[in-house]
Parts: sequence; C-alpha cells; structure tokens
Amino acid sequence: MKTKLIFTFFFSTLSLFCLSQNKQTDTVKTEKAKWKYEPNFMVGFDLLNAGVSFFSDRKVYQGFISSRVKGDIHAVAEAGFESNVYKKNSYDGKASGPFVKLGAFYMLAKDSDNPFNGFYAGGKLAGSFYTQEYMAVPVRGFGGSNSSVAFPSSTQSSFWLEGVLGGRVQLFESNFYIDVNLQPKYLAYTTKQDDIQPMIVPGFGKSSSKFTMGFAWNIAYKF
Amino acid sequence: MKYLKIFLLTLILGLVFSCGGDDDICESGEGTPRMKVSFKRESTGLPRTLDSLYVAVDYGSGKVQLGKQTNINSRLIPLRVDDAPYTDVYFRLSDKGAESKVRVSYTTKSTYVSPGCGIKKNYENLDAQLTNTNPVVKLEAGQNFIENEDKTNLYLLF
Repeated sequence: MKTKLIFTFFFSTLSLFCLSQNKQTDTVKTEKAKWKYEPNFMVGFDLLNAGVSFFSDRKVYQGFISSRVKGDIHAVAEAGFESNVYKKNSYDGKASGPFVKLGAFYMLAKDSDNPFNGFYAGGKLAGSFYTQEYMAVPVRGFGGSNSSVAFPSSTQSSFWLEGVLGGRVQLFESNFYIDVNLQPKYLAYTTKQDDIQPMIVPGFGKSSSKFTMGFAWNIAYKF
Repeated sequence: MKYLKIFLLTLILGLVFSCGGDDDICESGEGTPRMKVSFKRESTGLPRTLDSLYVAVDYGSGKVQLGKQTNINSRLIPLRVDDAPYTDVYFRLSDKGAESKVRVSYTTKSTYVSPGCGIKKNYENLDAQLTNTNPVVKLEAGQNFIENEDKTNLYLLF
C-alpha cells in the first residue's frame, strides 16, 4: 500500500508539472506529408519497483525500450524478471521467472516543443515463463483439522493483456526522461500444474483474480 | 484537454479497482463433503426421527463436541482431512448419557477446487466399526463413498 501512495505522490507532482508545460502551446508544427522513420530509441529502467525489492518478498526488475514510429505512435518493448512468494490463506508458494511485453502507445497530449513529453495510452501483449513451487495448498477441514498438500517445482507459462496509461517528462534540458505508467492487466491464459490456478505469476502479480494493476516509475535515456 | 480528463478519470478508476479482492472465499458446498448419517429403528428397520442427538468427533487432537441437534432424521458430520485413514465419531442421545463410538475408516482422494477452497478430499471405501452398543445398537452401510452431501453414508440403528 505504501508503494502505491509513493507512486501517486510522484504522479500528482508530475501531472502538475506537465500541465504547466502544456499551457505554453502557441506554435503548432505541421507534420510532413512524407513520412520517414528516423532512428530514435529510449531506454528506461524501473527504479521504484527495483527499490521496493530491497524491502519486500516481491522482487521486480524491469526495463523498457521504446521508439517513436510515426507521429504520435510509439512502439514499446519491455522485459523483466520477478520473483515472489505467496503465503496467505494457508498457501505457501513461490514463483520466479522472466517476462516480456510488446505493444504500442499513442501520445494523447504532448508538448509542442518536444513530442516525447506528454501523456500516453496504449496496450501490450505480455507473457511470462516461470518456475513455481507450491509447498502447501490447503485442504480446509473442520474443528482444527486442516492439512495441506505439497506439489513439486514445475515450469509454467502465462499470458496476459495489458493496458498502459502513463506520462513522460523530460528532465530539464538533458536526454533523461521520467516515465511513469499504470498497467491494468487481464490474465488471458495460463498453464496449470494439476489444474491449480497459480496464485502468483511473475510480471503479472497476484493472480488469484484475473485482474491486477501494476505500475512503473522509470528513468529513461533518449538516444 | 479532453483527452487529459479521460486519462485522469481512467487513472482514478484504475486505482479504485486495483484495491479489489485478493482474498478468495471458499463457498460452502465446494469444499470437502461431510458424511451424512441417518437413523433407523432396530426393531422395524424403518427410518426414525431422533428427539436429540449429541455428536463428538476426534480430529486427531482429542474429542471435539459438535453439539446437540433436535428433531432430526439425518445429520452431516465433517470427517478428518489429514492423512489419517479413519475418523472416530461419538454418538449419544442425552448430554450425560451413554456414548457409542464409531470408527469410520476410508481411503481419500485429493482434488483441486478453486483458489479459495484449495484442495478438497473425497472419501472412498467407507467402512464403519461400532465399539459400544449403547445407545447405537447396530450400523448399516449406505453409499460407501462421499463425493457430495446428498446420499446417506451410514445408518445408525437404535
């Protein structure tokens, strides 16, 4: 919960920052009729989740590469690694593995001076290939007669759809940007061990429900 | 600016939804089924209604009183879910009255149900042994496996 508060705090200060920038719009550049892809890359690393990893069982390291394809459309690829444990409701499980996401987003509102500054929304397809081990899956009984069943370590994969809503802002006049985004996720498909619904999926989060919300606070460098 | 409003609204809604349920609740009926016990009159073999019945079960750490039920013609008794091959069930007609002990032995099978319920146990090859013939005089077998709570698994003859 604390991480979420920190995140919202950052985001609220950022949105103020961006709003003030957007007020300066006077000149509107006309887009060229002929489009040519100019190589441009932005590489970012999620600092907030990496920082939180030091204090929690959930360890997430993720980064992204994005490129402006045409006009306001940017392509984005993300990759990361997560390891997590689930100890709740008599469950005891752990999962760890890499995940990848591919998608695109559209700049909804941008700074006229810098097309990389602004708010964006988009979507991604994501997949995770991970190792899980459930040391205890509960058998619920009566009168204090509870027991559990253990399952051996196995390799599973999950796939989900992810929306992205975020903002990107240039740090002063440097090539560094702060990129903050929210990721509503919907679990589309997962392989199962003995029909057991996985409780945690790396990159997706707690997966006992199909819907989760992720966030990232990135420092990015534009080449 | 219209975009911005939509954007911020989605953001707020997103935060609201993201706080939603992680704790799955196990709804009754989905978990491990209980054993159904019905009653018969020993002299006639016909079903009978009991004025009162006290049940206690040993779940591995001593007797647990499941309390009294009145005017019943059947009763559901939860069995052990650990790896023990039997459950001891105690029946008596009055609080201070004589007690019959029934040892119900079985084999179990584990099936995964849902995130909330976890795993449920089904009981197979049910077999009951009576050790004290007062107040229960005899036992009669019913359906010898427990997959749901519909059919009677054991008849007690009084």
